[in-house]
Amino acid sequence: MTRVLLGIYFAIGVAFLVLPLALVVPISLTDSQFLQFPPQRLSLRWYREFFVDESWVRATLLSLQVGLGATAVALVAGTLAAVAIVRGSFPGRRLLHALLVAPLILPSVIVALGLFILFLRWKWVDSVPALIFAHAVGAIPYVVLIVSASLRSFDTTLERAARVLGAGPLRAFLNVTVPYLGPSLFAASLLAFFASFDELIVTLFVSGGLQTLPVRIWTDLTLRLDPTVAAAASMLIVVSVAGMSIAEYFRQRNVRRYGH
Amino acid sequence: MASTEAGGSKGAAVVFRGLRQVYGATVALEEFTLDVAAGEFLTLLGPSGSGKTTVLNALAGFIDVTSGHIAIDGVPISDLPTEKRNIGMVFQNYSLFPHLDVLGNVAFPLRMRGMAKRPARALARDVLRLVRLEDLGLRMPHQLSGGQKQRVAFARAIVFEPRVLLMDEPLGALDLKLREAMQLEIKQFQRQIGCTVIYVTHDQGEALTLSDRIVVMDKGRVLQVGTPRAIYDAPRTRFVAEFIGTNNVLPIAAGADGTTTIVEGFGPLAVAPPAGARWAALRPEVLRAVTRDGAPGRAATIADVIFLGDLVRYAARCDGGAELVLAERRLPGGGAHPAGTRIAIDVRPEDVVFLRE
Repeated sequence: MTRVLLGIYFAIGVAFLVLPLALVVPISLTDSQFLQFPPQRLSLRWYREFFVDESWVRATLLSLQVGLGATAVALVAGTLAAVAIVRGSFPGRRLLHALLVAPLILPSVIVALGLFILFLRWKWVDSVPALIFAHAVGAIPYVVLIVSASLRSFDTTLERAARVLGAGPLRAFLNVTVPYLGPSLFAASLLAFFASFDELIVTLFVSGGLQTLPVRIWTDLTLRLDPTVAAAASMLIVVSVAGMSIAEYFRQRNVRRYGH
Repeated sequence: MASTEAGGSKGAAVVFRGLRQVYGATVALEEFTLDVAAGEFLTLLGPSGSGKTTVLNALAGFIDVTSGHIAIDGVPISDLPTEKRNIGMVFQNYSLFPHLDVLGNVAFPLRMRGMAKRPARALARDVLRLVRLEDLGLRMPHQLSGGQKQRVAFARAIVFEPRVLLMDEPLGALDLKLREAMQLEIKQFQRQIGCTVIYVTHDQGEALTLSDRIVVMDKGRVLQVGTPRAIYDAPRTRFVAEFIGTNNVLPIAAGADGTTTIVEGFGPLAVAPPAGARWAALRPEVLRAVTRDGAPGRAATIADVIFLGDLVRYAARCDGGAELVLAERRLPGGGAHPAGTRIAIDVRPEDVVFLRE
């Protein structure tokens, strides 16, 4: 009896999570002008529409560019911060950790508003580097959390061994610690990338005239609404799921290889 | 670089002068002064917290000591960073780099010294031959057994021909049988390479087997420095007497006539105690148990029998109250006294070691 009830509960939960996503894909495959479910006739015309429309393509490329930039910034800054937090003994270590992770917990609107006010003052709105830094703020928590967990389980005598065998501090870190962190760095950069790639709220505030893919979808939804949005959303879903699967694969492999 | 010819000391002399390390209110190391001869196998022996690892860390440059200095072959090294000291080191848990194969691990010190990949791996292969692991060069560390990891760690520590080799409890993680085999190998490798070895352990048996000299340490202080034989036969303090091997240490008092010593719970010995002596140390093997009635010695009862193969060890209680451990060599097919046997325990006065502190 309990098993049946639990099964039903589980099914409802999964349906609630997956249905909205599952609906988007058939809608994107419709032949009609409108968002329609179920589609009357199947067609890939809205996918063609997506790639033909220059504004969609430009938005996608901008999202990729900003995503890669934000990942690079977050990876370097987040890893260095994690090293300082785990290895350092300076006062305010916990505070630094809390501040770096805060964007994950705080409502995005608040972070976006803060960045917007700051960027206005610096006359930094409407620029790709500004957008990259804004996105990096949201991506750094993932890097800090994943890399510091991995660093904590790292046996520092390995670095000592490298030092005594002739490596300077930086070479010891790059030759021994970074390879050990490799899978974590990879997983962290995937999460960081998607944190940026999916970002809407902060982008709406600070992007000025720049349109990333989520912003393009957003404006389309509020203004026009044709199935190109569904096609774009379907592709986003596929890319995100693929990315998360790869990250999970590497995390599991790491568990098998080093036990963490 | 790694040559296998014997002889010719290629080790360096190491000099410690007044090394002192203080952490807050605790003194980890007190005035450590020692001269290690070139090519010597020196063991720092002591329980945890004795300061032996502090000496090793100071020599490797992992810590800055509070005061004192160290020189290798007359060159002060206290201001050199770890990587410039050119010291080989084998760590307790081997600390092999998990992402490099065996050859990559052994070639690592050469690569860090600017050697190209190909010759570095070729040289690493030569050294792996020395430790008889030439077939395992492409294995990853997690595919190796404990003994194999140990030998890889050793190969990695000597591939660049350091003149000083540090070993920090390198056999601690191995089981007994393997540990004994590895002790012999280490000794053999060291003779072949000729480098100075500074070896840290808490295992007194290991120290006795391997060392030219042993430094016994406790609570940050050096208690005694000497050859294994001197340390075993002539311990200067109660701690050393009890830490090395098995020993029966009993309090003593001078006899009334000035020519005897009264050992508490055991009885008189026909020798006057040296001035200031407070304890007598009686090794199990110098005590003789005789079952014959009327034999000379102190009457005692065997309380427990431990069979060790070549030896039989008895725990005996003297009628005077002292509890003693005795060891008797066992002849092939020979028996052992059962528990409860009445015996007489005799000892030659010249076999007794007197201790002041």
